[in-house]
Amino acid sequence: MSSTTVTIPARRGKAAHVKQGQIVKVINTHGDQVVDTWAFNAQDLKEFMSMEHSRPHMLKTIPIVGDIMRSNKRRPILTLIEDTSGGIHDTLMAACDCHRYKFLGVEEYHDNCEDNLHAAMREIGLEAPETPSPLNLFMNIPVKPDRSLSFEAPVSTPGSYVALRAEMDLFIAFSACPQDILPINGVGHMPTEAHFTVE
Amino acid sequence: MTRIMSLLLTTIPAGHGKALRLKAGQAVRLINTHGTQVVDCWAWNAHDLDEHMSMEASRVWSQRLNPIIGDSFVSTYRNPVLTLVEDTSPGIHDTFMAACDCHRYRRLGVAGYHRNCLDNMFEGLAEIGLTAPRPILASFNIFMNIAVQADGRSLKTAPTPGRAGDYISLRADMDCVVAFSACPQDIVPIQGGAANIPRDVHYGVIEDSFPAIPPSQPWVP
Repeated sequence: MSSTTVTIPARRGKAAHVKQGQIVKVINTHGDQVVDTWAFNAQDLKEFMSMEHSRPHMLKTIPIVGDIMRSNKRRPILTLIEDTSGGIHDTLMAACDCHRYKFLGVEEYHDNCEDNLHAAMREIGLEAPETPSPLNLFMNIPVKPDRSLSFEAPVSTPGSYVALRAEMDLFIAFSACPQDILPINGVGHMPTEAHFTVE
Repeated sequence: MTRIMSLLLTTIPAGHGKALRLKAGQAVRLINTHGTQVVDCWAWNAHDLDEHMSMEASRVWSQRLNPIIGDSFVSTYRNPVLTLVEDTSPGIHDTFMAACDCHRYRRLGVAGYHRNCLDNMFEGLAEIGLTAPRPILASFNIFMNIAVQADGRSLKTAPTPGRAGDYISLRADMDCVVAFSACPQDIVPIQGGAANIPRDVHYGVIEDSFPAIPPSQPWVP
């Protein structure tokens, strides 16, 4: 079956309906882009992918191929089935929001993943009930032995991707993270577009 | 100075929850009476329960998996809510595992009702006349021992390494509501001691007998 490639524009969000069993491929087109990812049960948006509920079951901070992300009711929602990106992602850090940029010294409005999530859901006629802690694809947050964390550039390469299988009918939402103050989107600090397919 | 001996203590019965109100500047001292108990903790802005303590925002704020003395927990709006001002325990806590709930115990093979931290949060709040507007929040799991392995991603759950009488004190940076649950987990071995039996813990509200540490500043590059 062929599928259409959808653009997640740089600094913006995009959401789509995904049926149970379909596969979402998230492509890091330019290689350095972090993509915040959320999933909501299509029948009940209050059930959504939860990083804190996924970690106790996969017993990892970062999923590897075969690991199952769970909802806040601990039901399987997405399974990571393929990863050509180098396997470095993040489940620990909150999506960036307007407050985050304020304390990073930005006085004007700054695009942010939280607003992108809600705008993307509204674009398909939905209202996300809250901003769940996201699965931050391609985001590189190493844990040091003293349990401190740092923000580093992605290790992924242009065109590399992850494939996620939907374990229920769901809405998936992405934000091509607009962070341009920390080197989280590469040392050039330049947010770019990314792409996804559903098939 | 008020010492722990003269502190008016409230019991959190084993496997149950309790909630309390704190004024900005007060602190709550949570005592691991038997040294073996994991205690889940949540907090809300007393004037707006929609604003709550956020583990994922706090990790961004402090750049740490779990706080050390001087680190603040921030809210969903990234305002400091609670600051860790004292910790006589080995300093091992968790911020990234969800509170146990009915679904967790079902998946662990429990057929009937099993007490759980999420229900305890609601019970504790209900006891002081409050309802959490959002049903599920990530918890600060005090004394919980989740080690990150050398590969930087695998996790190992182990019994808490606490000692009887260990305590931590959390200073309120805003008027807030704090809920605790003496975790009823008795299947996965997270409670200390070989028996993995949930035990009572205690807390007291303190006005001034704790180090004056300002709320921590956000990490910036």
